[in-house]
Amino acid sequence: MNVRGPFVILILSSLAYGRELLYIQSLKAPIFQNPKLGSKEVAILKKGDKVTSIGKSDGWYRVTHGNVEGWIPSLLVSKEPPLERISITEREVDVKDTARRRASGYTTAAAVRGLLEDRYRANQKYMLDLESIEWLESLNISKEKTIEFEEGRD
Amino acid sequence: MKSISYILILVFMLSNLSFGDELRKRAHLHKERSLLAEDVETEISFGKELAVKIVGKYKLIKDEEKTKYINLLGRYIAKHGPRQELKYHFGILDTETVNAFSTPGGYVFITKGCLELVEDESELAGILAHEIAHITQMHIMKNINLRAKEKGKMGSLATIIKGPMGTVEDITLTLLDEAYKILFEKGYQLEQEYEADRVGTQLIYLSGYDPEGLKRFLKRVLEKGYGEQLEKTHPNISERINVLDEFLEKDNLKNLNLKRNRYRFERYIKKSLTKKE
Repeated sequence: MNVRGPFVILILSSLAYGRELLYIQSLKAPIFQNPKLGSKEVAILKKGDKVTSIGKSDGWYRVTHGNVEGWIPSLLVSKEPPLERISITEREVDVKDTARRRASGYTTAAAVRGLLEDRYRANQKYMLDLESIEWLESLNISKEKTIEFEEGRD
Repeated sequence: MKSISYILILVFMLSNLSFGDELRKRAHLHKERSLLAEDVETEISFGKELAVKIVGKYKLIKDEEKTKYINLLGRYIAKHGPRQELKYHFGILDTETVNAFSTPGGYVFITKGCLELVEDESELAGILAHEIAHITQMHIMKNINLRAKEKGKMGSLATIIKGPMGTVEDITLTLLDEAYKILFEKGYQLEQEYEADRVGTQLIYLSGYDPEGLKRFLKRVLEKGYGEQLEKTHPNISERINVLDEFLEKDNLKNLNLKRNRYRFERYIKKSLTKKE
C-alpha cells in the first residue's frame, strides 16, 4: 500500500496555499483553537490587527498572530485594512428635491428635461418620507448610555 | 426646430440605453475590486433613498425610548462584525405584518408585528443580526449588480454610477426599483437568506447572546401561523430552522445557556408595544 500519496498531496496543497496578510474588520475578534465558534478562544484581537493566513476551511481561516496560532471566521477578516467611519451627512444627498435636480442638474436640453420629468412622474408610485429617516438619523444616544447598556447596568 | 428636439430625445434615449448596459458590464467587471470610501458613500446614499421609500410604505413609529433601545442593541451586535465604516440606524415600522428589512449602507427596520412575536433580547438580536448580515454581505448591491471591488482599471463605484455623461439619476431610479422589488416582492436569493441566518447567528454568539435566539423566533413564527406571510419574501421556515440547527450543532453552539435578557426586552418594548401609540 502506498502511504506516501496523501502526504505528498498534503505537502503540495500547503505549498500551494500562499500565506497572505489579513486585517481584522470587527472592533474585536477572537482567535479560536478549532474552526468552531464553540471552541476555546486563544486570543482576542482588535480592529486593524494583522494576522497571517496559513490555511482555509469552510468559512474559516487558519491564522498566526505573533506566537498565537488558531482559527478565525472569514467574516471577521479581509485582505484590505478596515475603512474609517464614513458619513454622508456632511454632503447630504438631496432626496427631497431629486425631481428638480433630475430636471436641471445633468443637462440643459429642454427636450431631455421633459423626458426626465416624465420619468420622475413614473417614480410617484412610491410614497417618500425623508423626514422620518432624518428623525431616525438624528436620534442622539450618549456614550454613557451605550456603556450602561453594553454592561447591562441600564 | 421640432425635428431637432426629436433628434435630441432619440440621441439621449440611445445613449442612456447603452450607458445602462455599459454600467452593468463595468459593475460586473468590478466584482473583485476592494471597497473605496467613495463606494461606501454611494452605497449609503442609495440605501438611504431606499429607506425613504420603506418608511413611505410603512409609517415609522417615532417612539424615542423604544427606538433608542433597538439602536443600542443593533449597534452593539454590529460592532462584532465587519464593515465598521458604516453607522447603523434601526427603526420600528407601524404595521402588523411580520417582517424586517435592511437597505445598503446601514438602515434596518423591524415591524411592530414582528416585535410582538419576540420574547427576549436574544431573539430580537437574532432578527437584527440577520438584517445586518444582508448589509455586511452586500446582498442587495450584488443582486442589482452594483458591487464594486477591483481596484485600478476603471475607477470606483461612484464613477460608474455617475457615468460618463453624468446621467446618474435614471439609472439610480431603475436600480432603486429593483432593490424595492427584492425587499417587497421577489425576496433575496435562497443562498443569501441562508447566509444571513448563518452570519446573523455568528454575530449574536460573538456578541455574547444565546445563539439559538433566531431559531427560537422562527419556530414561534411557525407556531403562531405567520409562516406563510414571512415566506412570501423568505425561504421555507422549516427548512431555515433545519439549516440553522445543523450549523448550531456543527459549531457546538447548542444549549449554551447564554444571555437572553428577557426582562430588559420586556421593560423597553413588550409592555408598551401593545398599547395604542
